[in-house]
Amino acid sequence: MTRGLKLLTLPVIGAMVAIAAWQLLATSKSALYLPTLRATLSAAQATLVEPQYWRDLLATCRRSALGFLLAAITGVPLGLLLGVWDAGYRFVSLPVDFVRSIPTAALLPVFLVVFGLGDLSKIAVVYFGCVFVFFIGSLYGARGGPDTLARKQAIRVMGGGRVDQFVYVVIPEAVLSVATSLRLAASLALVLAVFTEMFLGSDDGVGRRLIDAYLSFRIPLMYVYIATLGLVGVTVNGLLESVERRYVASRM
Amino acid sequence: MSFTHGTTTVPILSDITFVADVGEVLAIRGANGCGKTTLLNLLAAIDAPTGGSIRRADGDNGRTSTGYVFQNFSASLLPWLTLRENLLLPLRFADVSGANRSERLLELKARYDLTMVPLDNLPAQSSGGQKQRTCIARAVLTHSPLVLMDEPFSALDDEGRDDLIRLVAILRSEGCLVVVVVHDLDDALLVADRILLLRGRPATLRADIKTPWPWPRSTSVKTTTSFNDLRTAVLRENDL
Repeated sequence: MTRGLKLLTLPVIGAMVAIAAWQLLATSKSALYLPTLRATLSAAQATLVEPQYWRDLLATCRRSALGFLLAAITGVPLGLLLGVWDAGYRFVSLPVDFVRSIPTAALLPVFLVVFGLGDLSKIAVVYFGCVFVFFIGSLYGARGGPDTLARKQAIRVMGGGRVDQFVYVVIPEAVLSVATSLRLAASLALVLAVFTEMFLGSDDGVGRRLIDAYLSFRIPLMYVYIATLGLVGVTVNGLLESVERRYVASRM
Repeated sequence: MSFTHGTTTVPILSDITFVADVGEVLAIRGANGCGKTTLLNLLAAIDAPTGGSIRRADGDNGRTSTGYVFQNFSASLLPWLTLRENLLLPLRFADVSGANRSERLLELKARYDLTMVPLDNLPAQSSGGQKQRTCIARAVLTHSPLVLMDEPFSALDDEGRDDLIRLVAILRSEGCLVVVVVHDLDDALLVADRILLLRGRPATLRADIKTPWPWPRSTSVKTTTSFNDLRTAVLRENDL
């Protein structure tokens, strides 16, 4: 058996056990809100051929991706900068800690008032939830570890300046922490996009279809959308993990 | 020159005064924690003296023309760069072009043996000795007039030790001032023109001892009577 197959065996067995447990639970009498695997698969078969399903999936992915990317573009540089600029960090630390402690859900009315009912408010919610994940991850990454000072001193003695220290020491040291933030924020972005679609007024998106299915008691369909979100999450996480393995972990 | 670290009020070095010339090799000896590395950091302009001053005849502030082999040499290598990339960093900072970098590396290899060093490996894939050789090579790559080495023998095998002694002789002949922190007294006597003994807390310069043997030196010097006599004299000075 090849190493790859060996590595796959346990996850596949784990997934099969989970599916068997689902089927077992679904067939018990008390499982009012848990359809059988067969019912869910048949609902999926009917839904997946509908173009609307893919449009909804695309809408959710677009909202979470836009919020996620905007948060990364602003949160990472800001975190890196304040990670090495102590006075700057102390200046913003109190307001930042205050704002990031506010649950995103509590700010929904604010986002509605400021950005309206359209896509913008949903993207803003995703952005707000993710930006602090990036900011904190980059900030602590940029602060470095026990060897940071020695590396910076070495750069300085070799004739490098502050920018060289930032490029050759701070950024690479922060990469691992930023990569972890990416994965955390990716999951959060999906959660928040679906959440806004469910409760912030939306015409499309997986969240909207999910709540519709729930309210109209089409439980197998509800599980099709839940499974869809799970698959999207696993795919994104897998992609980010492989990128991390290829470009980050191999050099650390 | 004196130095007190910012976090304490107790001085580490007190009233250290010496003059060193180009083409000289100075070995610094002293007990653990007496301030040898602090002295090298001052010479490298990583720290500034809190009393007195360090003057270089070439007027350089030490930031662009000092080679330094750190005591914690592993930490001074960037783990995300290969040994070759680490080695060539000073040239990158000096804006030396890619073609010229390769030329300088070839020239370096003629002065210092790097055949044992897997230059395309990451530091994590290399041994302590290979990493230390890389750091030594990096410190002499740019022909800095001042080369500082903090315990450069610590991870080297016998062959590495001989190569380093040969390199120090080459640097000396090129007119470079080499300051080495060495724990092993035999090594210190072999590579240095002068041995500076630091003693006490705060450390003061206890003795400045000249070694008489002509260059280039070989390990056979160790078998001479004069070597043993000087060795005994240094040990006695250490104990006083």
